[in-house]
Amino acid sequence: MDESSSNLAALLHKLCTGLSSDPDGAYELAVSYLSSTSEKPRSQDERLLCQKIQSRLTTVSARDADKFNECYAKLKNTFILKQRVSVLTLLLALSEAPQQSESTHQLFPIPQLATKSNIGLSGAASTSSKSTIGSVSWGSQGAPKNQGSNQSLPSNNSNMALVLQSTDRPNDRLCVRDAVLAATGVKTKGAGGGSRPMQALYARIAHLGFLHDRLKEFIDPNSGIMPQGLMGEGLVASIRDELTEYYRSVALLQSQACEGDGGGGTLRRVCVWAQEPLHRLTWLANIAHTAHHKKGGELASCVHRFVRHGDERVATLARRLLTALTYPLLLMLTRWLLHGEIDDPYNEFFIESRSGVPIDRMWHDKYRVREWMVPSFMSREQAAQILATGKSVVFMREACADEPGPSDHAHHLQPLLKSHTGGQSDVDSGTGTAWWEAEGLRAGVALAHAAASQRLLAALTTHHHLLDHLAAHRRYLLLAQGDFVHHLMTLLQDELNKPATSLYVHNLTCTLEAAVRATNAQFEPPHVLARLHVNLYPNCDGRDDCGWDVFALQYRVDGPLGTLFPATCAARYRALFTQLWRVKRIEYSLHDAWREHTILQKRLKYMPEVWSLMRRVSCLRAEALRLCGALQEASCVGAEPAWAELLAAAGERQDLDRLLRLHHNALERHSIHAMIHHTTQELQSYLGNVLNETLALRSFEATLHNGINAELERRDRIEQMKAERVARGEYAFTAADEVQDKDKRKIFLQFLASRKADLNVWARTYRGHVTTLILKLALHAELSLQTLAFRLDYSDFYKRGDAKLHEPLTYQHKRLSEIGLNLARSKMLDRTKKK
Amino acid sequence: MTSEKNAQLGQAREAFQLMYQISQLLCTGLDPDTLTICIRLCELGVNPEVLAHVIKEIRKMGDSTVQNKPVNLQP
Repeated sequence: MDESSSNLAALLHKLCTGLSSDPDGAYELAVSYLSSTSEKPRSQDERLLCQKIQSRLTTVSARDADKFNECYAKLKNTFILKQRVSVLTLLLALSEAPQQSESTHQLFPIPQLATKSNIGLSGAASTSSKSTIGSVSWGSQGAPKNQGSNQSLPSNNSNMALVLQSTDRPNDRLCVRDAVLAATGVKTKGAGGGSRPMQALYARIAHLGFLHDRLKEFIDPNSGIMPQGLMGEGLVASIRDELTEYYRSVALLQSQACEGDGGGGTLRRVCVWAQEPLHRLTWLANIAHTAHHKKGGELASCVHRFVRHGDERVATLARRLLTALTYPLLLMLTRWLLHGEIDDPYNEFFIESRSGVPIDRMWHDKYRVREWMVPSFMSREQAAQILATGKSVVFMREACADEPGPSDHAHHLQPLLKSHTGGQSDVDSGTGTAWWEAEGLRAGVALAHAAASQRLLAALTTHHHLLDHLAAHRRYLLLAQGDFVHHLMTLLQDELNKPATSLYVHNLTCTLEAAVRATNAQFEPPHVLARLHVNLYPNCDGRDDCGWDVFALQYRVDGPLGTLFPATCAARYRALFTQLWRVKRIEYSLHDAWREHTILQKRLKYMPEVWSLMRRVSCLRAEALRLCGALQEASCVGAEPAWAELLAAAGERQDLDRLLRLHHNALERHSIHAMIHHTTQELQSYLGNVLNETLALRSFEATLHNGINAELERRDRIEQMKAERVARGEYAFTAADEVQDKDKRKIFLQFLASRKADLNVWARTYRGHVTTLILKLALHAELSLQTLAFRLDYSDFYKRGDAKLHEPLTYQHKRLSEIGLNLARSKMLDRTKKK
Repeated sequence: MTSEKNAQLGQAREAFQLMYQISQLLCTGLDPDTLTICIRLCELGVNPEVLAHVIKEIRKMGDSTVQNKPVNLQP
């Protein structure tokens, strides 16, 4: 006894050292516990213990319970352990609450056909078939209906147990076997017999066979309905897994129902067992049916529909299938997001790459989202973000020639992608959330997108001077750099009045360089100046234009920036430049006319007959100038917020798609306000009329000034002649001279009269055009153009002159009427409320 | 004599393996050494329930004092 107690102490101490860092304390604790409860252990019933263990294991997984049965059966055969029960008690007491992650899913129920009454028949078999699933432990006596079957078949007397415990006829066993076989789609003979209820049961079980065959066909590559592609393979593989589980379940059933000596299998019990597989196979078949001839994201979407099924079992099943089948998608996604590569032999991925796209259109055209392949668990924005992220990676690599350094967007994706690509067991168990429904997917993708686009924009702004080029476009092509434009205009004035055919780009380039040197443009960085060019765009109809019609500034961008400024964009810039340049030129020429006018004015002291005409021309010119100024201001100011937004976004390094959108938007706004947008086509023609008339005023003034100058010179000559003659002592003015002078004066007066008439005609036409323009502006849907109409006629000058503008269509009237409408509406609302 | 002993040894080992399997199925968190000791203690007639209680207490103690002690973790 002493020996055993010392032995005990030693063992206890060892245990404590193994378990605790503080062996002495632990030992004391152990001893105190053990000594305090020194009464004899109450001997436990072994069977009860086993049942307890089993019930605990089955709550986690039936497979574990099976394993336990196996181990326990073996353990019983070894007699080396005397205190088997006590060890088992210890283990049970120590067993912890089952953890979710450890559980393995049980696909199909483990048949437990034998009943409680045969527990004691034989050791291992009894425990293994011990009924722990209450639902299956039916009454041991066969259902009374079974008694009705009295088909005489060769009786199978070998199984006494069956005959003893149930009153089933021997052919029932055969029937059960047939039914089990039928469950796997095997045809058997003689199954048709039996009473009607039995047949009904049989048919129920045999339906499993039908479903099984359909699934079998679905996963058979020769049948032709197997879904294609890698994701299809994934679905097929997981369905095959399900079927394997099903086979296992059927095999166990068979062994218990047909061969085992403890078989209590009746058709009814098999039928009860069949409930669960029937449900599962039915839904598998349903899913498989909808998946016919689908592939890729479409397939995923159609399985995803079942995930939202109300029945938890169906949802779990679909979730497992979806996880398996989206595994290739996850791989493709990872590759695309991290490396910008598409590895998609079966065209399943929701991003497609098109070949033969030139590098400058790469961002726009090379990659595209296949809308129908986007899985339904992914939103449209997410797909767009994923597309943009991958594109950024490709763009950095291809266009910016960026060496593949550590891409910082990767770490946002790391937790998302890695945890699922690595943890296959996680996917197997079906308990952890799969990647496609993980919470982090949306946020991770968004973060990665932000990081990737930030990196791209950083490269564009630092290495490729994106901001400089944006600003330069605006300054030079949209004439925001006033001193430069004015100087260039002055220098080019004479050159551009020549016909277009006599213009040469190299001459104009020299002029451009001179203009750059003389103005603030010289302080621009060299990479901007190197891109500024002059170009001539002859009209295709071969009409002989003047230089003004064909001249345009050009800003050449290449390399990665070509994405932001593609050819379509360049065309828009050119159209804008042409329009703005035209207005500018007209304004300039009016100013020119004013200059000539002022110079001339000083010499008109003795020519009172032209004063009134000159005054009138001045007034009209001022009117035209004001219109030009208002137009220019409108076209710049209207687009100002859009440009500011674009520059702010570029400064903040937002994503490229957004920049493209903002840039496009800014150009749109500018086009609308310059009235060359496609929505303002009507306005464009009216504006063209006004501008043409303004030019006509300029040429009118030129003729007028020429005429007056000629007259002045003639008079000067006469005065000179008079002075000479007086000096020579002759008569200053002869009668012939006087007659001639009178004639000339008459001609001049006639000239003035016709000019006056011309001017009146011109003024009428001009005002007519302006009135139409204002009216059309007021009627335009764009609000800022409506306000422009108001600005052009803020003093009601044109309104007074034209009855059309009194029509209730003008901006003011519209505004007033809107206010009136709103008032009326609110009154109506009040009235209804009161009621 | 030796062969008999060997057979006994083999049988013991097998029994131990089975016990270990069951232990793992039940997630007891015992490593093979500890399990050996436990089995021997049980063979000596220690009350298994009390022993289980003792082991749990010791674990609790260890957990509260030393967090990084890997002994108690599941294998």
